[in-house]
Amino acid sequence: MSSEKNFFLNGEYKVQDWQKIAKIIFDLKKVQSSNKNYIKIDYSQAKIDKAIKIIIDEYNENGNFGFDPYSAGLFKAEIPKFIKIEDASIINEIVQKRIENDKSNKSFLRYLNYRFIHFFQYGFNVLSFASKILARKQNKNFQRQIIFQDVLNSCYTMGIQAIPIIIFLSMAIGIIISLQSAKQLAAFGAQLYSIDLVILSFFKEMSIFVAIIVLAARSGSSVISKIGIMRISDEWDALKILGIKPEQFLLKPKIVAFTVLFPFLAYIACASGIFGGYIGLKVLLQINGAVFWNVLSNVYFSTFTIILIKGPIIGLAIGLICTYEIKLVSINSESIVSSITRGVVYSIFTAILIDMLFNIVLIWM
Amino acid sequence: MNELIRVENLVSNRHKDLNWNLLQNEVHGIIGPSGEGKSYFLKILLNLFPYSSGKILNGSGEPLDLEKTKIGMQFQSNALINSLTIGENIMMPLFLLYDYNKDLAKQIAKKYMVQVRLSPDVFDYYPLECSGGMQKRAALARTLVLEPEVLFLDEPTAGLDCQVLEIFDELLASLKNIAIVMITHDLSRLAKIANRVSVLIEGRFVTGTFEELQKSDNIRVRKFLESYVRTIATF
Repeated sequence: MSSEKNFFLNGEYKVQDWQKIAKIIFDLKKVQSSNKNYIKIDYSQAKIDKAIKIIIDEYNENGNFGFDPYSAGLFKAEIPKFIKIEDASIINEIVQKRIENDKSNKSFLRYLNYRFIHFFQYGFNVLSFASKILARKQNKNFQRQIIFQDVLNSCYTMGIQAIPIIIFLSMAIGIIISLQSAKQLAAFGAQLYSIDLVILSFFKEMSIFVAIIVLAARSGSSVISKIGIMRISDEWDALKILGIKPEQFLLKPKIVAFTVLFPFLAYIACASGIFGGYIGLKVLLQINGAVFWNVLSNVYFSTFTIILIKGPIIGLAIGLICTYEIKLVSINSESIVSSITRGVVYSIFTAILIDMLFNIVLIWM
Repeated sequence: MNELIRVENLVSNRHKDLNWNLLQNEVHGIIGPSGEGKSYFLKILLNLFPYSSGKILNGSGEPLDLEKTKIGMQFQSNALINSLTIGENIMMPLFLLYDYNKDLAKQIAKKYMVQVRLSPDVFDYYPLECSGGMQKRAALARTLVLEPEVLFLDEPTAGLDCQVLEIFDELLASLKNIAIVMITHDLSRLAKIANRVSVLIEGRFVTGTFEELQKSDNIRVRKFLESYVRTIATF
């Protein structure tokens, strides 16, 4: 009895169906490794293009894929339905196992569980990174001279240059809030309270949201890309070899800049948003400007200073996450892209989470 | 001559069993086919890449401490910080590590620029505004500023024209009391200046003078050197 078994291929396979063939070969290789029987593909009953024939011949002759199975997207390809094989039970077993694995991986609870654990692990890694980088110094003069200068430079590029976009965004949001709130409150005859709504919402929350988005998306991504490229192009290693700790020289000033900048940008967002709200209410709804100013001048000091309490902590969190992502950049340029994406998303998410916790604590107090 | 660095039975992702040593004040070339892991080896010595097993020792037989044995490296890509000027790149180590006064550091940097045949006029130029040869010399100056005992040069002559290569030869000849390790494909240049050469082939080093290597028992080493000789003969 021949030790060879044949897998009979049926149907029609065009050039673009190579992934289906790749998946079949992958399954056959699995069977081969478990049963030590070399299963060749018999395509005499199938209609195949030349490219598919080359792939199958390569496999039949050498038992090799001839290509990387992962880049073929094997795990996403579907197995063709009309296949006749000698030893169907083995293939069915493999297919069945894959279907079950796919189902369990797609289980929502399992996915949530994985994400939860990953988030906490990530948070722990960031805190560990923070303790190392913020505690140590190169030497005391280095910390005094260079970091201050670099913090100023970073504040300029990350903060001052972001002011126009913050002003524009905040004004637009201010106009939106003022119009929407005035419209909704008019139904209750309380249109005037839209002034309070605009002013208080910007002092307490909206300015912080705008600053989070601009700082994380604009400044965070630029920091990760700029310093991430230094990691790829040996500049980071060159600093290490010279005895200069790149984390102290490059990352620490950025973290300090994020922490210092956030309240500053949030106040600018607040002022712009309130001004936008004023435009919306005064110009578009003809509400009395003096009333607007009266409400603004009666804002409590605690409301005014809430940005100073939340701001530095949120800024620090964004800075730590963005600089931690720089450390994760590896030697290829693709890793920069994933670091930027992760850095921006995680820092926005964490910043909003911290804001939520602050709200819970402050309201409870 | 005393040993400065000794590598014993080093195994890594790219190497099988490396045994290598560097003597004081020697010029030591590392050559070999592309992709064998020559630059990787230097980065292992500099603690930038990990290795699985083996020992990296200093001249006293103790583990190599990079803070005690001063090693400088000039990367193939030069690795100048693009956001700093040429002068700032060179004076940065003095300023950051040893707290030099800024004006003093500037003066010293300009002296080093003269030593590497770089005009002090380019002090305020950014690296991207300078030619490849100027960047290489600036990177070398930045390394020399810290007075290293060992100097690693990764492809220092790549992309340079013959005039700049002459300057480079003079530069290397002028460096005293420094052991130089040079990775290069420019074997004719290496043959003139190197005391010893190590050929990295199949994850192992074969070390000796050029003459010894040309008569080596290792067929791949002989073939590698013969192919080079044929290339320059054709030219």
